[in-house]
Amino acid sequence: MKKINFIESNIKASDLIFEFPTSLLLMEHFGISFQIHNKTIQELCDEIDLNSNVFITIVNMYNKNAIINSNLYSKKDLIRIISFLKNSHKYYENEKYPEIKKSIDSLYNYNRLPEIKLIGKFFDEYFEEVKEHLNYENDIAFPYFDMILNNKSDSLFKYNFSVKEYSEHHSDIEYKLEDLKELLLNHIPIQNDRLIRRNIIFSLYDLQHHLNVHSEIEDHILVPAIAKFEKELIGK
Amino acid sequence: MANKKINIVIIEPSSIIREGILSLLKKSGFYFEAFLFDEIDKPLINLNTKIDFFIVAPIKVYNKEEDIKILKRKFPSSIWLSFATTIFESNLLTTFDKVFSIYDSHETISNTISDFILNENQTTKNFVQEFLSSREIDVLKLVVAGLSNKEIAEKLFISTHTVISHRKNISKKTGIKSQSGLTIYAIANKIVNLDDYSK
Repeated sequence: MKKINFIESNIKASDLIFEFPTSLLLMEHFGISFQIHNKTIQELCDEIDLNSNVFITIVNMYNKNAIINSNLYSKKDLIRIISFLKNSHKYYENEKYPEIKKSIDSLYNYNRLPEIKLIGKFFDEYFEEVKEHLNYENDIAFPYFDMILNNKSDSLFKYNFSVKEYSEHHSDIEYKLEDLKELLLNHIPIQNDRLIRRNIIFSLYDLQHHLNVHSEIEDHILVPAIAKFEKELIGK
Repeated sequence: MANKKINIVIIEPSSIIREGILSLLKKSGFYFEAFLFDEIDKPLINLNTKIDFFIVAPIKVYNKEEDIKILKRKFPSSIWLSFATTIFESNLLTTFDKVFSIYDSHETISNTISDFILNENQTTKNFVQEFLSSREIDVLKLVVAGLSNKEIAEKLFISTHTVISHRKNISKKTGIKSQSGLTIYAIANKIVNLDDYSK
């Protein structure tokens, strides 16, 4: 089968999912139905009134090939992107992190090294920082973006915040994920835990990819596009 | 090359040339993401993603010397490329690593880009796990004990600057940046005792 490099909206959703299974999750985050039957991406997006370019660009970003032009997105598109990001937050918080945490806990059952206990603690602290960051976006940044996208210029003035502040806030927590991989791969002795450790490492890579794309969406689409609307609305 | 994604910023007002560049990149099978901008200005400068290539139309670099300087400082290993449509001024050569002519063949362009990618990989990737020097181990012990750079400097009679450079080397050699990560590293490698740590 020929590898699909650049995904386009005229392909069948089932072909896309066979080629690139993560798109099933991305569809879910956008609210696209699982009942794909024989439909194309375009048809599925039309059903929920989603600009197919938004979906295609983000799938291509996850598939590590994309062309991004923040000028292309309307306010309506950006509202959909924010809702996508919020759903991904829920996915990280309620599924992805707890799943990895569970694996690390069971790692200790196989390999009772004190270092592994410390890895568990390290992961908990890291997860707390991540949650803090997600809450900051959910509670402070996204509501502000919503005001811009819904043209609520009165409330904007009262809200002491700006896109610039958001783009500078970026907390650098990703290096802890690197540290975890490094420790599990290179430094903590293996004892009867090869299988579970492999699964943890795969999950960490997967998580890291998700987080990378997530922040690329924020940096390359959300920030430049919303900054433009912010300027139009209040000249900040 | 196949597994390393490259991030490319493209600033090209001509849609014919822009689409041309994009289709050429797609055809070359590079693993890439392209970010399209209108100008060299704020949104571009504030980017948080590491950019490997800038492909900028010659017309877009005039009077942008300051911004370009900032970008080059921010992405020191970035490669600057341009496509010249006509005879261009020679001072553009100082901004760009390579100026293509739009008449260059597909092969010339994609081969040059792959050469740049290969060179970069060679200089930045260090696969050999290196051992810490005894001085680095001294610093690491104090990092694990929770001392600040300033406190470590005072204790070891060295400058804060030297402490920072030791810490950079420790992170480079171990692949670990955070203090709590380094603690686990130090325990796993018997540099500190777990009992000392829990005290």
